[in-house]
Amino acid sequence: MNVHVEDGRIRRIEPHPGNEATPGGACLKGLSYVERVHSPDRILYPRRRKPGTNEFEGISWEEALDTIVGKLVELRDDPGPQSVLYYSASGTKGLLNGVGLKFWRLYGGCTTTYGDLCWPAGLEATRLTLGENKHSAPWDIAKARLIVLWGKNAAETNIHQMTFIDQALDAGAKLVVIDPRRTQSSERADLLVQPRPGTDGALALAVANLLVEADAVDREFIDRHVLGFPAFAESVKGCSPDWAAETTDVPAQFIRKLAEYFADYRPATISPGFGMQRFTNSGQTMRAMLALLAITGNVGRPGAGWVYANLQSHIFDDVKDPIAFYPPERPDGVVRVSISTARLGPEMLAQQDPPLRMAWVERGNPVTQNPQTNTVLEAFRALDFRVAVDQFMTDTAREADIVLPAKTMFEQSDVIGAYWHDYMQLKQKVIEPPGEVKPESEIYRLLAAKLGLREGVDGTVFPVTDDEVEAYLERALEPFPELTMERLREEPVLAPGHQEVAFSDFVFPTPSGKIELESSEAVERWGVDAVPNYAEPAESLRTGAPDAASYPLYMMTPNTKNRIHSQFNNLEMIRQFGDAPFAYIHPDDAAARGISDGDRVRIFNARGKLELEARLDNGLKPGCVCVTNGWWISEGGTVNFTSAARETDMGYGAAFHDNRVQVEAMRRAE
Amino acid sequence: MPNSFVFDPNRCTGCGACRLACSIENDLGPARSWRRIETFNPRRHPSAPLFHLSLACNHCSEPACMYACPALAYRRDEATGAVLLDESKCIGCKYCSWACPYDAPVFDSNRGVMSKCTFCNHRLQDGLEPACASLCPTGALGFGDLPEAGLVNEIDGFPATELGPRIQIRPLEPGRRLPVMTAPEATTPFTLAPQTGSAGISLRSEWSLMLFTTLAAVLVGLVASAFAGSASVHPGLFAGGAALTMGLAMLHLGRLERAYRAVLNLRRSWLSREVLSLTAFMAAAILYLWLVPDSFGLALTATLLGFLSLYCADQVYSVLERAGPGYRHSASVLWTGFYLTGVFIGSGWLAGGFGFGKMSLYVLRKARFIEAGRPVRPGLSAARLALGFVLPFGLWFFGPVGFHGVIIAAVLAGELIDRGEYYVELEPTSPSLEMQQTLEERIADATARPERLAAAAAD
Repeated sequence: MNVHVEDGRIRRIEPHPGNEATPGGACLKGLSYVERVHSPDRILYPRRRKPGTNEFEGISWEEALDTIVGKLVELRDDPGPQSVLYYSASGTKGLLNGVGLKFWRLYGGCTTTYGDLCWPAGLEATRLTLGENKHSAPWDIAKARLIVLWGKNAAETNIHQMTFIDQALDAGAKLVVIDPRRTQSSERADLLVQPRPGTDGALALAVANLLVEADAVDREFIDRHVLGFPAFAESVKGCSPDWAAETTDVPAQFIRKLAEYFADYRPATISPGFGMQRFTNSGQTMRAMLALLAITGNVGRPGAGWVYANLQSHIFDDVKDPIAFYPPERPDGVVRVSISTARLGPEMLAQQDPPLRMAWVERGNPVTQNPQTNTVLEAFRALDFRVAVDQFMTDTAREADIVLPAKTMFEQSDVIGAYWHDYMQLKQKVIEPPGEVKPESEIYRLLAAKLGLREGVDGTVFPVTDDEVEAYLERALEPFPELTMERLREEPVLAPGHQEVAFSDFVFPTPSGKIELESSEAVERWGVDAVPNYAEPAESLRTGAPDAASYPLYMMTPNTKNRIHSQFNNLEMIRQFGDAPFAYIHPDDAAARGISDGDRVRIFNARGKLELEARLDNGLKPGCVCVTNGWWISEGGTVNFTSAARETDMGYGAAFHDNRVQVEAMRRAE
Repeated sequence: MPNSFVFDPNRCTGCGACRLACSIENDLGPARSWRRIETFNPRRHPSAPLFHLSLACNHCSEPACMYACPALAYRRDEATGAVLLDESKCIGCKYCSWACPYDAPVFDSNRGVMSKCTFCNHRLQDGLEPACASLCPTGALGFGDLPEAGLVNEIDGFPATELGPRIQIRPLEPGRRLPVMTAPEATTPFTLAPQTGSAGISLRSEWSLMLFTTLAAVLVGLVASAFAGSASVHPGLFAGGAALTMGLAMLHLGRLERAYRAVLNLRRSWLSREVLSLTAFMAAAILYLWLVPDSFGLALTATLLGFLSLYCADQVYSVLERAGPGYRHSASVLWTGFYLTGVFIGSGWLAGGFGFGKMSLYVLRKARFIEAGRPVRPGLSAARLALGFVLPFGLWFFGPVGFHGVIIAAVLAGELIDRGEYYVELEPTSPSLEMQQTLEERIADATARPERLAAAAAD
C-alpha cells in the first residue's frame, strides 16, 4: 500500500496499483492504521507492574532492561536457560522476526512452542495430498465456473477475493457456500449448505461417492496424476447421501445437488476457510475435500484448484510450513521445543527439568487467543516473571511484570511475503518510532550488551540503525537477483519462480510424484487412515458423550471483518462497527431457554464461561451458538474461556473449534 | 456530464471501509463520518435478502437541504455538482436534516452546526474521485457520470424522491438475491431488529418546539380576540409571552449568535418565512397593544400577520409529512390558532367549527393507526378528546357561566397533548425507516418455504 505521511503522522493509506490482488482499497483494518499508530492508548514507554497490584507505572528503559537482565542471569544459572519460555505469534510479519530466536540461542537457550493456532491441519492435508502448499494467483478464481467457499466467509475475512468471485459470478459461475451460518458471502450463493459443525468430511465423502457412482470423474486425469483412486473409491462406497444427511444434518437432496454441481460445472475451485480445520478430525476432512478436486480433474488448470494457503512468496524459508513448525526430529539441547501451541496452558504447567519460571511474549496475545484461557492464565500466573512486548495493553500484557513498547510496521523496514497472493513487498520505514518505542532488534541488542554477549552487539545480528536494517535485508535478498531493495522500494514484486496457475506443470512433490489420495505418510506420521475418512469430532453430540445433555450447543467462534484475531478492536475506528461481543443464537434455541433478543446470557461449559448479550440470528443453523473471536477479556470476554486445549488429527494445529457449550439467560437483576 | 456516485449492492459486503475513508480524508475524527452503511434485513429473515446501502449526501439536483436552509448556508458548486454547506453560516437549526430524506446532514453537537459530505469537492477539483469511492475494496461504491445505462436510483430502502439524487444503483440481480438454504426455518416468530441510524425526531428532542408552536397559537388567538374587541390583553404580559415564545424557538439553534441569519431564505424556506412573519406579528402586536390600541389598521395587520405566521409554521413541517399539500393534521398550528381564537372570544361557530374539525381529524388518524397496527396510546387519546373537546364544550353549552378559565385551560391541555403526539408520530423519510417498512412488507408477502424449496429443486 501507499502510505501518506504528514508532519510525522500517518495521514492516509491507499492501495498500491502494483499489487493486482488488491485493486480496490485496503480493508477496514488496513485503513485503521491511521489511528492505530497514533492511538493515545499505544504503549510508548516501558511499564512495570506495581508490586501486588494490577496497575502499571512507567519506568526507564535502563530500569526495565536491568530488571529483565537480572532475572535472566539468575535463571540461566538456576534452573537453567530453558526455564524461560519464548512465545511469539504472528502479530507483525517480517524477516526481522527471526532476531528473537537468535537472541535466545545466544542467551543459552529457551523453551518454545511447536505447532500453530491458525491453519496446520489444512496445510498438512494439502502437503500430504498435493505435496506443497500453493495455489493459483488470486484473480484466477474469476475463471472458475463453480466456486465453493467451504467454511469460509470471504466477504469478511478475505474481502479482496470477493472482487474476483464477483467477476466469476458476473460471467455466470455458480457459487456454493458451506457454512452453518448465513453470511455476507452466502448471500451471493446459489446454494447455502449448512452442516453440523465438524461434519464437513462426511459431506465431502458423500459427494465423492455420488461422483464415483455416476462416473462423473475425470478418468484421464486420475490415471495420469492421482495415486490411490481405487482405494478411495472403495472406501467411500459406504458414504451414501442418506448416511451423510444423517451425519451432517443436511437433507440428502442438497448433497445430491452439490454433487451435481461438481459433475456439471468445471473448472471448479474450492476455497476452504481455516475455521473448519480446527476440529479433531480436520486433517482427514481437508483431505476428503481435496479428493473431490483430484477426482474431478480440478487441479493445475485455470479456474480450478484449492485456494487454501499460498506459500509461493515464502522464499526465505529453508523449510516451509507446516513442517517448519513441527518439533525438530533431533533436538539440539539449546532450544527446547516442547510445548504444543494448542495445549499451551496445560503444557506450560507440566514442564519439568527445568520447570518454566519466566515467559517472554512478543507479537501475540496468548491469554485470549490460545485454547482454554483459564488454564493459560493459571500457567502465566504460576511463573515468577513475565515480559510482554506489545503496542497495547492486551490481556496478556496485563498479566506481565514488565511491558515493553513494540514498533508498528511503519517504524522499521522489513520484507514480507503473503499467504494468499504471490507478491514480495518491502514495508518501508516511514516514521520514527514514537515515544521511546524500540524495535525488537534493538531491544535484543541492548539485552545482549547488558548480558555481555559479544556476538549480539554486532549490527549484522541485531540491526538497529536504518543502514544496518537495510544491509540485513539486502543480505537476505542476495540469493534472489530479481529482488533488490531498489525494485521493492518501487512496487510489489512477484515472488521468483511463482506459478500463476498452481501445479500447471503437474509436478506434485509427494513421495509418489502424484496427487496422493492414499498416503502412507499420513499413516506413519499421524496414525490416521491412508485414505481420507470420517470420524466424529471430539465434542460431537453423536458419540454418546456423558455431558451431551449438559452442553448441547456447538460453539462457533468465527472471525469478523473488524479484527485480525485479537488485534484492532481497541481502536475507535473499529469499535464503531461493534462495541461489545454478542452471542448469536437461533430463535428456537433462544425460545427454548427463555432468551429474548438483547438479553444478557451466560455461555459456559466445564472449562469456563463468558457473559454477554444475546442476538437472535435467523440465519444460523439451530443447535449452534456463535461469538466472534478476538474480544479481549477486558472488552467482554474471550471465546477461549470455553475452548479445549486439544490438537487436530494432523499438523499440530489447535482443535479449539471442537467445542460444546450451554447457554442460559442471566437473571435480569444481575 | 454530471458527477454521480455509482453503487452496486451486489458487490457491497457492508465492510465499512467507505465510512472510514471518509473519516480519514475529511479529518472528522475516528468514529465520525459523513457516510454510513444501512443494512436491509440484519436479522436475516429467510424470505428476504440481506444487503447494504452505503449512503452519504447524494448532491441532489434539487437539493431539499439547500432549499430548506433558512440561513442560506448551502450553495452548489456548479462545476462539480457538489452541494456544499458553509459551516460558518450555519445556525444549527437542523432543518436541513428534516428536509433531507437520505439523512445526509448531521448535527455536530460539539460545534453547534450541521456537517455534511462535500462530495470530496477538493478531490473532484483535482480530478480525483471521492475518497469513499476510490477506497472501496470490492468496487461496490464507485463514481461516474450521470446517467449510465442499466442503473436506477431505486432499491428497497432508498427513499423515492423527486430530488434528482446523484447516485445510481445497480439493481439486485435476481440470481444473487437469496440462496437456497438447507437449515430448517425457525418456528419462533421473527423479531425485527430495533431501528437504528435515523436522524429521528422525537418529543424528547422537540419538546421546546411543542411549547413554541402552541404558545405562538395562543398569542395569535389573544391578538385576534383583542382585535375582535372581546378581550383585553395586557401588553406587558403579551410581550413576556412573545419573549418566551422566541426564547423557546432559540433553544433549537446550535449557534445563537447567528440567529439573525434565519430570515435570509425567504425565497425558498418556510422556516425563514415563519421566523420573519412571527417576528413581524409580535412587533405589530406589541405596537398595537401597547402604543396604539385604537388603530384598526395595526390590529388588522397584527392579526393577519399572526395567522400568516401560523400558516408558515404548519408549512415548515410539510418537508416531513408523508402526505400531499392538502393534508392537515389535527395538531395544525393554524387550526389551533383559529380554535383558540374562537374559545377566547366565545364564538360558538369558530370554536365549534375548528374544534369539531380537529376532533374529526384526530379520531380518523387514530382509526388509521389501529388499522395499521401502530401504537395509539388510548389513555392519552382519551385525555386529548376529553380535555380538548368534551369538557370545554360540555361546560360551554351545559355548564354554569364563569368557567371560561377552565374551558381555556382544558382546551390548551388538549392541544398540548395533540402537539406532543404530533412530534412522537412524525416519521421523517429516512433510509433506515424505509428499509424497516419495506422489510415488514416483504415478510408479510413472503412465499411459503415449501414453494421456494420446490422451485429450488426444479432449478
